Amino acid sequence: MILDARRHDGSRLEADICIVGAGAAGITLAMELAASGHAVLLLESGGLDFDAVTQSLCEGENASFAEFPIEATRLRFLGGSTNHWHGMTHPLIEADLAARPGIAATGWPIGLGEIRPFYRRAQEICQLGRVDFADVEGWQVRAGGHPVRLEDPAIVPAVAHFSPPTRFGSAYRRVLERAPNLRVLLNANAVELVADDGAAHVKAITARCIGGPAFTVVPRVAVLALGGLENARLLLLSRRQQPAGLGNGHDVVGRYYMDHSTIAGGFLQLAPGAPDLRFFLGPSDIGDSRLHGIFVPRPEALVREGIGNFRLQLYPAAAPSPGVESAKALMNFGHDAEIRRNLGRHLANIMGDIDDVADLLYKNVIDRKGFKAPVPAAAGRTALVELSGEQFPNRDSRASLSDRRDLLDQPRLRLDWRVQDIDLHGWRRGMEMFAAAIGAAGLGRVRITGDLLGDGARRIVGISCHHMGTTRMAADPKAGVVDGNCRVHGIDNLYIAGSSVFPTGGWANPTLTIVALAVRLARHIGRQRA
Amino acid sequence: MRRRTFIAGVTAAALVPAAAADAIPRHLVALGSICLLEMADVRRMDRRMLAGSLAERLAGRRLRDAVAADFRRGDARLVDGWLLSNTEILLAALAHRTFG
Repeated sequence: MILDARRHDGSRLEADICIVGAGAAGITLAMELAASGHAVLLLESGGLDFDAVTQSLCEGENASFAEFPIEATRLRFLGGSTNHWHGMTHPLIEADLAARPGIAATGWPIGLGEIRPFYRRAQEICQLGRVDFADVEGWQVRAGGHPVRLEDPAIVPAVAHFSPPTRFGSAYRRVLERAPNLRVLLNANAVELVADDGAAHVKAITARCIGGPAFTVVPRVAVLALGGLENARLLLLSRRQQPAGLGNGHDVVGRYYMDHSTIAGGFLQLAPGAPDLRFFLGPSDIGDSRLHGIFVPRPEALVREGIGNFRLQLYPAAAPSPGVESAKALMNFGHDAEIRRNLGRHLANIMGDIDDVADLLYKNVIDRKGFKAPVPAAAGRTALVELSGEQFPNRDSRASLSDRRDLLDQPRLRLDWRVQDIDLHGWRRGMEMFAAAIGAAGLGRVRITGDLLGDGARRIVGISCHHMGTTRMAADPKAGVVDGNCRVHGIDNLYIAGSSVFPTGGWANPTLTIVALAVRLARHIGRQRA
Repeated sequence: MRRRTFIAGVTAAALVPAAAADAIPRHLVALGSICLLEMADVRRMDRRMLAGSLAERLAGRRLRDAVAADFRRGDARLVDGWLLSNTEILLAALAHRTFG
């Protein structure tokens, strides 16, 4: 059943298993545990729909990337951030979990074999349709094209499957309503975990409603499934027994924060006579499957290069015309000091590309499409190359508590996201490896954006809203927050679900692995409770 | 300009039927095509890339294989952001020195 915590009378609630957070991980855990007969209480901060007041609890302070919209990267209502999920999925590969030679803090305490059995159930939950990540050539043929073979020692084609995308709140609302041993409490914000004196057992969870009652949940088992940032925040907020935060005896909680970079890395110009790359330029719907062709590195190339994993995705787009860019800059930002300083260069660009600029002016004056009208791609022969790359773990990249407080008088989140030189090097090499593979296959040439090659690379690094690493998994309590079973080191009844447990993130969008790990955790807790 | 156009025209007139008849080595056709592109003043950096790809197209498998082998060996360099094989950079530079 689904209840509203604002109508709760404030009395103490008992729960066999209490899950905090109803996103992909929390809802998966609740469904799996309830289906196997366990009594579950699921606390959700928001309601059934978006609410700006509740969402404001996600606001935080950004220490390093001012344009990073912390509050916009996740959502607080039933279904959590799956409510704005893009839907792309791919499992992690063995190399993603392996320790990387010479790179500190890499290596999961579990192998892929520990997760692989749960991907199939995760694919069902994420409604992927028919799935085969390995049959790259088969999918290309079924999409009506000829398989692209790079035969390259470093880069190969791959395929990503898409979820519809599943909005977990609406897709599974009826399941949550009907499960007899499952209670969902909406508008219930967990604000503190209260442990025993030895900080070895969670005795209670304190929850509050905005403008409403506070109440206590007494769980036998507690699972945090609040997302990659809020999992760490709730541990840090729980300071009664451990001043640095619960489970933070070794100052690891909140550290090693990672995201996948998103970088417009350059342009691909297809060679005359090159095969059709349509499978790689947009999604293909085949039966009940939606797929997208991508390019990824071979694992051995990653080891050889000493860089992180990445994926390359193509989008139909015109190669940029320097003259058009300069004309737009002059028309739109003529007052800008930078423009005035480089006026000569801009005018030279315009003269050099006078035909493109004339085309743009025609559109603006005659067609009135404005200066944002795209310059058409040369007969579909160009594509934007977007690189999404893995970051290596960095102890100084971290989420911590701010001095500012939210509506519930709790310290807000402070995020200090760091991009290391070794990350930038890896993303540059990724583009170079792709450019070489395309050249070797005779498919065309790749022009890598100057920003990525020069000193301004940090400026073009975008985010993917994949919050990882803040409660990382490690066998050694000094190196991680949870063990291989996602149990917080030193606390016998506290578990964590979600991408905050990822010690490294590969390139794969994390939701499928989040769900697979949640299924695995449900099995583990079920066995423990039995 | 008039002189360059004239040379381009004459070269083209000689190359096209010769290439069609396989009367001259294909790498000469490739070099000639690059020269034509240079003389026709194909805009900005694209000319190098276009020259390379056209050279590959015209020169047939031998040059294509040489360029592909360059990329596989890592014999390639970034020129204004383009990753180009050393062979095509050499051809473009030769054409540029001759006619540029």
